Amino acid sequence: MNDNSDFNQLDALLAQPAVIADRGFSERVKQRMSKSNTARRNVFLITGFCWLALVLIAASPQAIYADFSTLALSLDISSLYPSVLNQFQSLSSSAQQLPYPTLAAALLSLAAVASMVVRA
Amino acid sequence: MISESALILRALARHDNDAFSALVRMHQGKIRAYLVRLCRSYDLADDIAQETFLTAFRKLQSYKGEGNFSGWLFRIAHNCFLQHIRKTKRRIEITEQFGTQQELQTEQYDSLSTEQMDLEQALTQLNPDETATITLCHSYGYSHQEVSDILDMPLGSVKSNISRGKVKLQKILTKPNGLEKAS
Repeated sequence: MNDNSDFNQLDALLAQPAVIADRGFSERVKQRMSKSNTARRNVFLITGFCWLALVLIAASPQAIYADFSTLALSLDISSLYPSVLNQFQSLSSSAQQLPYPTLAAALLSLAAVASMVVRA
Repeated sequence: MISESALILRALARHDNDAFSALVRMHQGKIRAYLVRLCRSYDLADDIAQETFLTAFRKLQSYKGEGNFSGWLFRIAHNCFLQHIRKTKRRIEITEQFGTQQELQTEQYDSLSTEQMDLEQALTQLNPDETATITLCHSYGYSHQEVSDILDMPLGSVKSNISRGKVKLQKILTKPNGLEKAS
């Protein structure tokens, strides 16, 4: 048999590919898309709440110090406690020197970056 | 009927599920048939196809309209297939297992002639690179360069895979007992 004509027949056959029937496939994908949209919405909702919480905390650096101190006291890190306390104290004193709008802006920027990372 | 580009724009601008679902309906037949040829399993191909469309939905913003949309989908599908193989680390097992175990399920297709059935069976005897290049080039009409872009494979390899695969197919289809190995 002629090779060229064989290859022509093969090409003709290959040019008519079999197509798989849908049979509910598109619907399944649509359902999964909706689920992923819901998850996405939830992530943004949580990010929004975190953002709000950060703004509230930024309004009071003293409260951060108090919270951290309480947390440190509740944990059993007695050996690390002096150095941790020193760090908290230095954090507290530097926060007191920092103007509130600057601190709030810094935290909001951090939240915005986190939000962008989540979106990516 | 709304055109493909209009649906893409709608899905992009409004993150419209319905518009994207219409795109899924438009392309699922080809993508799944392509993946069945690669995976040699209908269930696995369905899972990878779902992953393909979900990835496409998530990354639709990155589709810049360069090249055609189905080419972009084939690229994602192929990457999902490779990712699955890497994840399971069972490339050889999958190839061997499904190459010998898969039964052609005619009810899965819209319509299938005897010649097409023979071709689908014969394709199971090629390696995934040969199957992918031949399918994209000869069944879906992409140029060698486009196939090279979709599969991220050098142009020379695309050409050699196609010619080697076609010679194999020719032998399988013309041999009287050529398909026995696949069935």
